[in-house]
Amino acid sequence: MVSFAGINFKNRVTLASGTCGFGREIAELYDLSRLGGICTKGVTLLPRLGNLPPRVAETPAGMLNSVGLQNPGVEAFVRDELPFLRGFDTKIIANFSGESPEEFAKIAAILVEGGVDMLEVNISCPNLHAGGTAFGTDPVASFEVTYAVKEAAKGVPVMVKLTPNVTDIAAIAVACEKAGADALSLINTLLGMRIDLKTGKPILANVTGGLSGPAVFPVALRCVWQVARAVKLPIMGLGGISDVDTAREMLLAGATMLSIGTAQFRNPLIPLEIIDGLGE
Amino acid sequence: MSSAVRQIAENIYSLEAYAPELAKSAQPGQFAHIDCGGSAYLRRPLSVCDVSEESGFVRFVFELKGEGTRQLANSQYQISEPQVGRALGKGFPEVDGRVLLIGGGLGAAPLLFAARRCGADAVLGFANGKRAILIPEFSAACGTVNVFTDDGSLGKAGVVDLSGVDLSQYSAVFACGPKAMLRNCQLMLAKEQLPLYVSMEEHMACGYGACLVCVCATKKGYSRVCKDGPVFESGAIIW
Ligand SMILES: Cc1cc2nc3c(=O)[nH]c(=O)nc-3n(C[C@H](O)[C@H](O)[C@H](O)COP(=O)(O)OP(=O)(O)OC[C@H]3O[C@@H](n4cnc5c(N)ncnc54)[C@H](O)[C@@H]3O)c2cc1C
Ligand SMILES: Cc1cc2nc3c(=O)[nH]c(=O)nc-3n(C[C@H](O)[C@H](O)[C@H](O)COP(=O)(O)O)c2cc1C
Ligand code: FES
Repeated sequence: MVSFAGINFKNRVTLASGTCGFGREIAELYDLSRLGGICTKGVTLLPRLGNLPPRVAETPAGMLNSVGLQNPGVEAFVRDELPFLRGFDTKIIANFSGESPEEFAKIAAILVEGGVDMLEVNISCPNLHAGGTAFGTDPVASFEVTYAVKEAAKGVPVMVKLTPNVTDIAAIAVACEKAGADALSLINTLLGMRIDLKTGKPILANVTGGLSGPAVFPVALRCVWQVARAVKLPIMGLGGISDVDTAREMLLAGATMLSIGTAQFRNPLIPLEIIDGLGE
Repeated sequence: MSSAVRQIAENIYSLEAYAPELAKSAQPGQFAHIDCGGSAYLRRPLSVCDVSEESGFVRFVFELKGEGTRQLANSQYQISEPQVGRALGKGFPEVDGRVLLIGGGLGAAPLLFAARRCGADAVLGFANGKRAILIPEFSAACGTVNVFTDDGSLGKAGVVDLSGVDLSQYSAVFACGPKAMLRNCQLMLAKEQLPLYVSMEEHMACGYGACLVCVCATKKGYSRVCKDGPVFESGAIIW
């Protein structure tokens, strides 16, 4: 049992948002009740089609994705997906994003009403009121979103997910702490791109995408280390964890909980191996 | 020995890998998502071309493209069952009656497996004779086999053409190949009352429906090629 932001998790391992959908495909492979928790695919207020394909490009020890938050919308998530997930004895951490603090709060209220265990606030998305720069790159915008969600959450723990695409991640972490966040998760993907030498054009239709996988692990570890020394909030560490050793390193850097993403694409059973390997 | 690879045409290889679970469970049109080892981080999708339930071996036929397939083409390299993984995706439907198979290039691979499981005839198109694959296998598994090559070096010259084919004898058409060929099939068969099933390709990450990177545009929005496909009813695709 691991206590994290006031919730008791059966172990430290969760699945990372966007890498496990709403759990259905993973449930064909193993019992989701074995997991500490599941961070569900990011939802938005209205359904989103997502970006044009191709949406993936391989990189050395990792990949870029430009899914573009394809999702059925928060209402459909609560109606069609949450009841299925509730059938498992694991914590449901709902990842979501909005275009303004008010919209974040509105989605949070719907998720809390629907009965999720924890909110994961994805502030890596563009802030439409600030010309599209990500909320999570600005301490003030990060504060505003966190504050608005915390008010709407009615006591359900609020975890803010930080982007590494910043100069000083600790400053953002401090802003989220001041705004009342209960926990932080980090890191989201690093912005990158690749060009196809045969065509001379970017591989991703969206041009840029988020880098994930073992390639980002040292960056993730550094971010967790810096944030753990700047705030008192408990941390869910993620980014490139791919085996028991990298999981242990992440805990040593200051994380209490872990989330496994891209490594599942090579071996979908890796979260269970990490749970067993950590001896929990 | 868990796997064996050999070259069968210009730049094209045949891989037989010991994967008894996959051999037993795979359906025509399904694929395996293969961990090729080396520096290829993501798995690579390859269609199941043939299976032997008795020996437990599964056959794949692939073109040498980049890092992943280069690793697979190395005859020193042994691929293990976990690297091959399980049967993925939605394959071709089971149909009563004869099926017409239309394959372009490497697209012939999954159709051979389909030919093993139903009464079928095949129309195959290749760039040239040196790139032609699996013709003896198709000849053994099918009633008739018509071959086209772009340069006329084997079979008839030109792209796949159905004008000489009596379509009334078929209950369905299965097609796999380059997108331009599939679109052409859709056009050629638009006026017929024949269901056309096409196998689509898109770059993948998970291969089992969880990450949403492999989508193609369908009338229901973006569908996952790895889970909702790779085989789709042609009318559902936005071409
Ligand atoms: C369902 C399905 C079945 C397939 N079956 C076959 C088959 O039977 N025989 C065959 O030769 N090829 C098949 N392909 C294409 C095959 O997956 C690619 O040629 C292969 O992934 C190239 O890998 P690479 O490392 O050699 O090339 P690289 O160019 O190094 O690959 C880089 C990245 O792009 C991806 N990629 C490149 N081309 C394709 C492509 N056409 N489709 C999907 N991903 C691609 C790779 O998987 C990898 O992630 C299939 C594709 C799909 C989607
Ligand atoms: C295909 C894909 C989709 C993702 N979707 C989301 C998302 O919807 N919301 C989010 O906060 N993070 C999303 N992420 C980021 C991951 O949750 C994670 O932060 C990142 O991939 C780093 O971890 P990893 O290296 O273990 O994958 C996505 C990542 C991938 C690869
Ligand atoms: S590759 Fe992940 S959903 Fe298809």
